[in-house]
Amino acid sequence: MRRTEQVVSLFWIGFALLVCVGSLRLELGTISDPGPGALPFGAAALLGILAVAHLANVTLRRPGRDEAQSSWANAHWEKGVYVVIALFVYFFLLPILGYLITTFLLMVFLFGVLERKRWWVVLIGSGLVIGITYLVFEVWLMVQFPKGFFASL
Amino acid sequence: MDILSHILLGLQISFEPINLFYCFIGVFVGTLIGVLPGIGPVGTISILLPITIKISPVSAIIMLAGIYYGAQYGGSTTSILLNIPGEASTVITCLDGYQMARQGRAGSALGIAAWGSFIAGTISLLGLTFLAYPLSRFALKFGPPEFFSLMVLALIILTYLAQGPLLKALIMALFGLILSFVGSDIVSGQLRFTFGILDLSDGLGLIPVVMGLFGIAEVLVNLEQAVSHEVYDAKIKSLFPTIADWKKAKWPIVRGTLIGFFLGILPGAGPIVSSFISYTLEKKISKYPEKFGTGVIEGVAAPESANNASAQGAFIPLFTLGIPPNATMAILFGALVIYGLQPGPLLIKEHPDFFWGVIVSMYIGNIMLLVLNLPLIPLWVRLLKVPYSFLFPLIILFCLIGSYSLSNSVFDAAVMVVFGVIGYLMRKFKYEGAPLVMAFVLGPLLEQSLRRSLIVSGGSFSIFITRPISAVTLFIAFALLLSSFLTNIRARKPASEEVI
Repeated sequence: MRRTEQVVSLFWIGFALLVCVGSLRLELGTISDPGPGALPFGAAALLGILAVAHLANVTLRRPGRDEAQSSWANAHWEKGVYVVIALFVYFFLLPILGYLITTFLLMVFLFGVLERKRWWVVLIGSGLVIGITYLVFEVWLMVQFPKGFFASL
Repeated sequence: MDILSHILLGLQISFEPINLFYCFIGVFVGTLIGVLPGIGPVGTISILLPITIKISPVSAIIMLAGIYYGAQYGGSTTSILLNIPGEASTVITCLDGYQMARQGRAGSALGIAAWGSFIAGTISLLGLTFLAYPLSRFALKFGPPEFFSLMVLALIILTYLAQGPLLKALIMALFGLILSFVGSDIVSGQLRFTFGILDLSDGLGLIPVVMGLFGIAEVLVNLEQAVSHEVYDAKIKSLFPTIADWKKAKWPIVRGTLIGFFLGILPGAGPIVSSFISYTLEKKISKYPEKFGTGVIEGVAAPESANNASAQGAFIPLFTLGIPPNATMAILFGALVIYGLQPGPLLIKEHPDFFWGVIVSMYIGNIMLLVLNLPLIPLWVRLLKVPYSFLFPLIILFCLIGSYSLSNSVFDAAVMVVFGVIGYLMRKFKYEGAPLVMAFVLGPLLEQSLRRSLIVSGGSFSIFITRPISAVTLFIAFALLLSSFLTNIRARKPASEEVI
């Protein structure tokens, strides 16, 4: 718990420092005419001070129960990692293959590979989802989904 | 007498079949997009705006307004049943609404949300009908220093929402504030923290950030637990709150309505801020504040009443002053101009049929929403009883579509996923998302007000304490902060680590 909190506090201190440096590169301006960097600098400086206070707080207090570790214990976080990776692959393929094909592949992955549903459930479910969302959003609400190579046909 | 004849005129116009039809379409679509996480009224109204040019201005605004206040009704459903806010203004409803659902009291939570919304919406409309002029005159007294002080007060109130340590809540608020600075500088137009990415020049979108922090993060947390949502197993017994529920909820509804209505007319405050403030007030004055966040009905009734009252109140500055108090109203402002109507004091005088037709249609819309919402809730519940393994791909897809449809941008959808990961880590390290979102929303207004105030005063901070409204607001903010610190110090026991 204490180690985790210390690491997170250090992250915030580093983040605050980076924002402070970035703000200085912008213009701080004067008190009567604050520049674009003034408020980000002030907010980041305050964030840094609070992070230092939090670091001191967790470092100086007596060790307590190890609660933070329990939030990671027995957690199957791998699934979440797969989902995030799949989503970034989805964003990469979306402009190329278009909404219909890419989203179908994403649904097949989520239903079939991740949740191991029966193949016919996966195919019918994915097809239905794609069809309904396409009708509602593209046809009815006129959201312009990427067409991919279909656009050139 | 004059107002009665205007109301009769409004009744005549709003009861025309075509206007009843557009009112129904508006509130139905509003409820639908309110229920669906990831697509909100701003996006929907933007999408539908081109279609409305073909219909009459009064019908168009009746429909678009219906989408806006209808979304406030619908937004609570997913907050209560899924812990995913359908709208940013229902973020706070998740805290107690979801816990009530987990305890098998989803029906009471949904029922009180619908009834509270109806009561608040109707009372707020009465205010809109009778108090438009005097209230708008009062709001006109607010200049940049007053707005800055109000924003500071709102941010300080965040610390009261914190279930965990005060320092962590403040860190989250500052993180949200820094995120709000991404994009073009409001005064000079200079790009800040965009790292050469063109999509960031308009800043980070609220919807992708909120959907990521609450929608995607929820999915990631649920996936690792490898269990289905407990709430789906719970039977929803009755959608009508019990007498005991009503006794507890009646005053929170009244207070939420008043807070929502008055904050609704102030530019910048709106449904989000009013829902947070009403929740905080209830927690503060409650005999059992420690139970807030564990499933108390006051935690649902107050914010749900506030956000609906606020949604209706937001029409006052738009119609009477020509000042859009939030993004949705800004779009409606644009729509009115396209229709050839100039929002402002002359609108009521020159187009009484339009003004009173829209106002009276909102009464009808509120009744439609109540009639629509309660019977439809079992349908949403049935939909949400689907096993989580079927549900999470759909939640992800709705979030993807919602964030994408705002500006047809894959970048926005990617931002949402990034914030999903951030939200997941925040939960793991016990940082709360609400202070971040609130600060992110208020950030641009706060910066604008501060910089304008300093320019006006020639760099003197005394402007904030020499103006009475600003001084009182800042005093309250300071007193709250002090009280919060003292409470934290007093509560510092070995068991003080208990969070969330």
